[in-house]
Amino acid sequence: MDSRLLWGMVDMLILDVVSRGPTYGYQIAQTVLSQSSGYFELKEGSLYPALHRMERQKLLTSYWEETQEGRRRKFYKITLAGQRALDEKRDEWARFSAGVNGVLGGAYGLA
Amino acid sequence: MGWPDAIAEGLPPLHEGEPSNLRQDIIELADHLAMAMQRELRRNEDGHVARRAVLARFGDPLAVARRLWWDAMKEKIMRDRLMLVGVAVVLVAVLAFLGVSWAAQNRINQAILAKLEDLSARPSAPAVPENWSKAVIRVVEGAKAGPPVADVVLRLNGKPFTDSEQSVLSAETDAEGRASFGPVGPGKYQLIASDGKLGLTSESEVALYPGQVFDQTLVCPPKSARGEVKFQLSGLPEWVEPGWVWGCVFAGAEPVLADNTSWNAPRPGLWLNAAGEVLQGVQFSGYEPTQVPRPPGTGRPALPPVFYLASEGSVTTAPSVTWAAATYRLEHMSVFAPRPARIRKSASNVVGGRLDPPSRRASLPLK
Repeated sequence: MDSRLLWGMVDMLILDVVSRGPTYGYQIAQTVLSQSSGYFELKEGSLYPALHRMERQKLLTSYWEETQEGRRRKFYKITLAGQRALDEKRDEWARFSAGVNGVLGGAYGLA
Repeated sequence: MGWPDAIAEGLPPLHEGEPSNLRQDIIELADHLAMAMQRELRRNEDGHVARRAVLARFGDPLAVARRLWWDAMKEKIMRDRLMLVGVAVVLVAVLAFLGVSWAAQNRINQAILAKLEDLSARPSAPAVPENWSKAVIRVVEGAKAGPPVADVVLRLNGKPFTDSEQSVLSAETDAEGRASFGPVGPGKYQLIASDGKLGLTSESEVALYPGQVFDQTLVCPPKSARGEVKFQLSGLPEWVEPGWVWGCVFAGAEPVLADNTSWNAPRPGLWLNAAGEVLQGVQFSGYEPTQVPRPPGTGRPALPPVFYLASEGSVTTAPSVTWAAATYRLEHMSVFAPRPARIRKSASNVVGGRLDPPSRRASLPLK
């Protein structure tokens, strides 16, 4: 897909995945990829700047755990502020998609 | 090299103020890459191929690590840079201010220095007010056009108009007969001139007005108006013995007028010996009111008080004295006999004596 379309939705997708429970970067990327049926295939590396930014914005918090393989892994949890931001983004997306669908519905049978 | 080390090598050098857990947080990329590697290895056992696939999906790990580091540090770095710029600006401003202040202070100092040099170059202010007076007295002999008289002592006694304290100024005429006073506070003064040679004195009132240069010429009696006086004692009583001295006191003479200047003759007093010579350096010391027995058969009066004569220096004799032309009257005359035994032995310049006549005074004819 066009990366410019995806760019505005990355925060919402990350917050949505993390809101389901503590998770880590690789799993977030895999979840988005699998649940979008491979549609949202973003550069996995670009996920981390977004995670760190949202952590600095207090939308996410993090903690470390050691894996069975002995590696240290960083887990992310959503905060109340993150939850509120996610709700706002969902509403905004709903209005946006409804508007887009309203325009495109007649031609593509989405109305 | 493992993912953590490769990523760590791509990070900038440790920055002052960097959060201690920042680099550890970035190492989470290694966990992601390790899991992605496991995933690719399950698809393809060739490690090189798997690694390329991981990097193709992930992107450049070093670039991602550097971006994470920069995102975390840029606010602090920018703040530090702004602080540095601010400090530099303040420093420059302070230096500029100091430079301007120094230049201004330097200009002020130069101005003060120039002013001081200007002041020091100027003639010093007069120690007395400019409106004070001066007095120039000239003493000449015989007439106003006469020759100057030196060594005449002049005194100005009086007080300035604005001062309550009496002041006495003294000067002596120079070879040109001139003596200067001043600056003198304006006021009324008494000018007293003393001719030491003749013992004449002249007194006059002088009024000095502000800013005035008072100029006056005093005329002394001419030399021809002075006379050499010799004394001769005659008709002395028989009991007078050689070596006795005579104290003579004359009444003041009439004032001597020379041109416009009036001079007062002194009230002379002198010591004479029996030969009529003038004794100089003799001073009256005192007397002893004891009584001396009358010498038998001499016919001398009894009970004469004893007098002492003492001199500061050695006693000398002169054949005559020079007095200003005037009429002098002998007021009284006393005779003293030497008596060295009764006076201070250690003083060689002492002449002792006692009054032998019945009266301490004796008027004798003066020739």
